[in-house]
Amino acid sequence: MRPGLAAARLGATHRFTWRLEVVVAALSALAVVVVNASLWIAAADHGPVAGLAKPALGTYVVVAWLVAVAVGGRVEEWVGERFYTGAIASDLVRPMDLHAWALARHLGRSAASMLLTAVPVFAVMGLWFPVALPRHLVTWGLFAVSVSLAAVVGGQIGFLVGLLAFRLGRVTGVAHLKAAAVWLLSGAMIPIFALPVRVQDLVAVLPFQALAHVPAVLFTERVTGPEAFGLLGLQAFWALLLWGACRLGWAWAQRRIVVWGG
Amino acid sequence: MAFLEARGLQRTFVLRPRRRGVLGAVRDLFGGERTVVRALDGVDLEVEPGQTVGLLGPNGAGKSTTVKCLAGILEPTGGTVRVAGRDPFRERQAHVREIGVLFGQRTQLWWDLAVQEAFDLLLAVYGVPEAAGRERLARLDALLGIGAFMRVPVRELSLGQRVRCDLAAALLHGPRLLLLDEPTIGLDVTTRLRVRAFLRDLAAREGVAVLLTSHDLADVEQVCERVVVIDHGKVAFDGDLSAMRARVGLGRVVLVEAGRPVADADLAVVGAAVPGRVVRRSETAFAVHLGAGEGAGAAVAAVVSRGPVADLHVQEPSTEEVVAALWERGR
Repeated sequence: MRPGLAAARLGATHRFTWRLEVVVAALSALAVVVVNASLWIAAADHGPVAGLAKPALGTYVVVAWLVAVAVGGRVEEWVGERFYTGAIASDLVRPMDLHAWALARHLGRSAASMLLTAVPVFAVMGLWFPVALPRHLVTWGLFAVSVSLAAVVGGQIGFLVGLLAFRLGRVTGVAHLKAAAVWLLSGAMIPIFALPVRVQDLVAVLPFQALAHVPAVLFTERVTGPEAFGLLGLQAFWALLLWGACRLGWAWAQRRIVVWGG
Repeated sequence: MAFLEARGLQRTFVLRPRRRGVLGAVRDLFGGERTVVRALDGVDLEVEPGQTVGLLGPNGAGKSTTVKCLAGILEPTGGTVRVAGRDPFRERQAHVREIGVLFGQRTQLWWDLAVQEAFDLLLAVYGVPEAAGRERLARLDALLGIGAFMRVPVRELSLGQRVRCDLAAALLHGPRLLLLDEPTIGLDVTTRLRVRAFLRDLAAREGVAVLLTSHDLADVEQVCERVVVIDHGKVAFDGDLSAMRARVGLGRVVLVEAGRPVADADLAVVGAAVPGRVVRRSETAFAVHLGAGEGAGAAVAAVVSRGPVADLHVQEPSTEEVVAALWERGR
């Protein structure tokens, strides 16, 4: 087995390990999605919101949240904890690169989350909310690629935030900040179309839309054809840019590692 | 060049002492003091394949820092380290493939994975072929007896079980250099003995270089052919145990149980006959403290010349006493 695959498998295994966590994660995602979808669908009672009619709007908010939760992960907590407790020492004596390892692990975890949370919650929502599946087969392919790219972006944002644990000791504060940014600026809570224009301009230059907005518009087939590939290109651009940032950040951090005591 | 070579190894740390109380904490928010601590101050060390070296030193002497620099975890602030010609820090990934590391104080396994899963993962990380991995694991199981809890999550293991698993994990990929920081912590007597025998065997038969730190000096006595004492970030002694004994200059002690009351006059005669101190221990017993390197023959002859004795015992200074004397001197 290749190390990357092993790390992905580890991430997935972790996600399956705690029975209660599986249930709680699914239930809390369901609760948020029910509330959020109800709100937006009610808002669409008097006509389309930001150009989206009820089924498209409902599908967008459900898919956006579920993908954001699945690919958002908690890489920053994982990385921060390793620095804080000194567990980083055991990572460094293995022939693995913490950035690549964290990313591979996160991809495995995200895949497991899609399977354990996103799919069942979407299915339950389908029972009594106006949500729709894509009509074209190719959309599934685009969506799969988009979610994978979203996971790469999400994992690396988390990794960078985690590296801040070096300067800060604890990562909790910035982790909250990151979560808030994801909720508000990725499309996870508020569709990007519905944000004030000024905020939309801000969102356009930030990586967060790659986490939820892009997969959601592809899933709802709001964007198709060459434009869809443009969106995937945007996600890939952020994935690469963040890759570079993570490499730099990790190189910087390695020189400053201090493992106290024993 | 030696297999492992450190030259003038230095490492400094910046400490930020905290002020006291709430007010102190608030003041520390806006920049506090900084002190620079020299943990390693020019360590020189050479180890060849198949050598077993015990790293000794008082708490805070720089043992663990040395191990971390050799493992590639810490970047030295001065001097050079080479292991098999590589710079451990700069070429970390290639370097750690050839070494096994055990920090007895913390586990390197994954907390919520079963032991077997963790081993599978490590075999994948090191790219060990499956058959070779299984064979190695069987050998380690025979020594460490870990087969019984292969399916137990690491967090549910007892300390002894965990250390044994960690030891197996450090050896799974067949390293050429073993760095062991407190390897027998938490192990019971039998397992300790087995682990020590295994380490000796590993060095002798496979040519693995073993470097261990321990506060259990029996580990060092039974495993290591060579002792390196680190104190104040420098090498204070490098040689074998008997050389260390000679250097410290603690002599042997002859314990005599006469089995009859001993007169002070007898003691005076014995004291005059041998270069050493005679100390009365009870009405019937006394001890002769010999000088460093003195044989016990003259003392024994003098003792029996004053009449029969019930029992006689020649005691070597314990390694603990030798090491304590060495540290005391470094102060």
